Amino acid sequence: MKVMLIDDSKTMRNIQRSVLKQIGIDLVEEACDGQDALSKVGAFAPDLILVDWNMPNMDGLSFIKAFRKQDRTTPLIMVTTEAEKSRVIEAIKAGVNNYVVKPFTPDLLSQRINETMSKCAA
Amino acid sequence: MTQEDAFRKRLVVRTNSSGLSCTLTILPGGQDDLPSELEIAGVLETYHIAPARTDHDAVAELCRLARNDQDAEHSAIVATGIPAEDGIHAAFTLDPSLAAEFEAIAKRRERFEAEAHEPGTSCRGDEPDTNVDYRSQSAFVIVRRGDVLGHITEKTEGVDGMNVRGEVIPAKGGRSLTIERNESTRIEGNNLVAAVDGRLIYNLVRIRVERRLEVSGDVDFTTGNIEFPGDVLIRGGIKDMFRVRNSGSLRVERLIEAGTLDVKGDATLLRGMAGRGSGVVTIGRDLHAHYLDGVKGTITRDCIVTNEIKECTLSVGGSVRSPACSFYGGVLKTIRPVELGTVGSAGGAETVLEIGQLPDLGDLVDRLGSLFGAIDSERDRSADELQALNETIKKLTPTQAERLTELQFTQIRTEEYTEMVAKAAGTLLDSVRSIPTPRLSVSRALHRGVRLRLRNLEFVIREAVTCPMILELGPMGKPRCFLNGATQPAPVAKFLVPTSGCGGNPLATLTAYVNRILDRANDAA
Repeated sequence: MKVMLIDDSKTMRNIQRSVLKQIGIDLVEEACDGQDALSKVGAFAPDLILVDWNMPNMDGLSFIKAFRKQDRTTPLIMVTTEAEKSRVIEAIKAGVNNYVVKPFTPDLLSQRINETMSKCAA
Repeated sequence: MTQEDAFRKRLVVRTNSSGLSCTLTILPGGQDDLPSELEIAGVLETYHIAPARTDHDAVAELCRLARNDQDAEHSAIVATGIPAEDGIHAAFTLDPSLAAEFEAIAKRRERFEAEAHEPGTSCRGDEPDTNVDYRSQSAFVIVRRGDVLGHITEKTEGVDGMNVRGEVIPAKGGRSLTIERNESTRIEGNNLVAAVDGRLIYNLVRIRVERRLEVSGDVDFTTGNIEFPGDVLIRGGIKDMFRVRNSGSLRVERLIEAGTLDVKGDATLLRGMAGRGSGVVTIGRDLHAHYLDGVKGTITRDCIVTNEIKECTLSVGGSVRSPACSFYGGVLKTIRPVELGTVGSAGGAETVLEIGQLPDLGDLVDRLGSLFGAIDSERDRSADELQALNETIKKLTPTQAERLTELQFTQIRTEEYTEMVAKAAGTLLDSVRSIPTPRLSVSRALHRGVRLRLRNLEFVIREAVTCPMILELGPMGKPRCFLNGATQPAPVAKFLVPTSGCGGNPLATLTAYVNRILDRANDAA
């Protein structure tokens, strides 16, 4: 399985990469913002995308809206500090399949990944 | 006589022995009995000359000549056959680069033989005026598995011919490849390739690759240095400054002088090596020798010498199992137990014997300890920060939320790292425990003045020791000695003078250190 990580924090990407490795996923592409992700996503063709909300150049929500115009099926998980209900609803409307609020534990993230992949496969 | 009889008498038809040519002669005569072209064709048919093979133009021209000059005899070839084209025999052509190697070796041999004067003076590669460096040139063609040895030309069946009577002349088919070869070569397409590494043997009737190199005489200027990807057997010896390097085993039947041996497998030196301080050995497995004199080097596994180890500097990864051997002068270092006949000499040749040194182990344990310390402090630091963050902040900012995630992650990672380090420490401890006790067994004499090191304890032999004796490190790291097969240890102070490191058992120290790491790892878990 191929996963794309979009976060402006290298540390956060490393944490997510490590969690993915623990659940047996080694094929990972990283992007530091929405714009970077849009330039890479076509060639990489991920099976899952983990995206932060607040990033420079293009934020996570704008990325999701742009991405969903071309791809309506690839699962997206928003991993963000934005915890307010209205923000969560906004993200879901834009097309995310799941939502993880920071701070998160590795267990929580891997649980959400498995949950999302099972739902999307069903 | 009819007219037909008359013209028949003027015609002579001859076919040559191969049947490929028919000559017609018109004898002199008159106009009346001159045969026409049609009549000639009829005559040729009676001789079974195939019309298809008949040259009608030649017949016409012959008739014309006979008509114009009836008093003369006229001849011409009036039918020709087609010779058979025999098939080509299958052939093997040696690869040009290999052929060049064989040629160079032959030339070298001729040149060497032509230089009747002392080869040792004119052929040395280190002399500036030297034309040929005989040492660096091998007398053998060495090939690797998969190398193309040459090209095979397939036989052909040939093309049948036909004689003037229209009969087939069968062509002879080409012969199959006659060169003798075995499973050491294989055919790939039109190429013959080496199926194994080894020495290429080739002459017009035979080609094969020998996995073992056998040198019938000495390794000297006639053979050059030996580089071989397999076993080597040298029926003679090895002369000064020559090198043998091979990936298999080595057996040398006569004396080795100050040469260099670099052997991946076992080495058996039936006569031994007189290195005179310049002989070098690097042996990948066991070394068996009659004697070693003035040799430096390393032996990865055991060293078995039947007669003498003299003025050598040897490092042995295994044990020294030479119960009849005298060792004097030089340094012998081994990891595992040593059995010798005599150690040192009555004349006091400086002799050093080191058993059970573990030079890398201490460093390894130190590195493990510092790694563990770094992980430990990172875990403590992140735990403190995490606690502070949880206690003081009610609502997290995005930055704090990310930091909290990082800290939680760090905590988990440090636990994983601790587990990995503890596992490595356990493995190291197992390795440490498996190292045998340093032990020296001497069957005949341990002479005064020998410097002896058992692990990190150093002694000088104060006075000659009655043998047989066994000297070893006891469980508490103290040396103990058993004389003449006694089961109770004898006092060692009488003949051993400690020179350094008698403070304790380094193996016990290492064990304790690794155990401490394991305990801390358990606490952390």
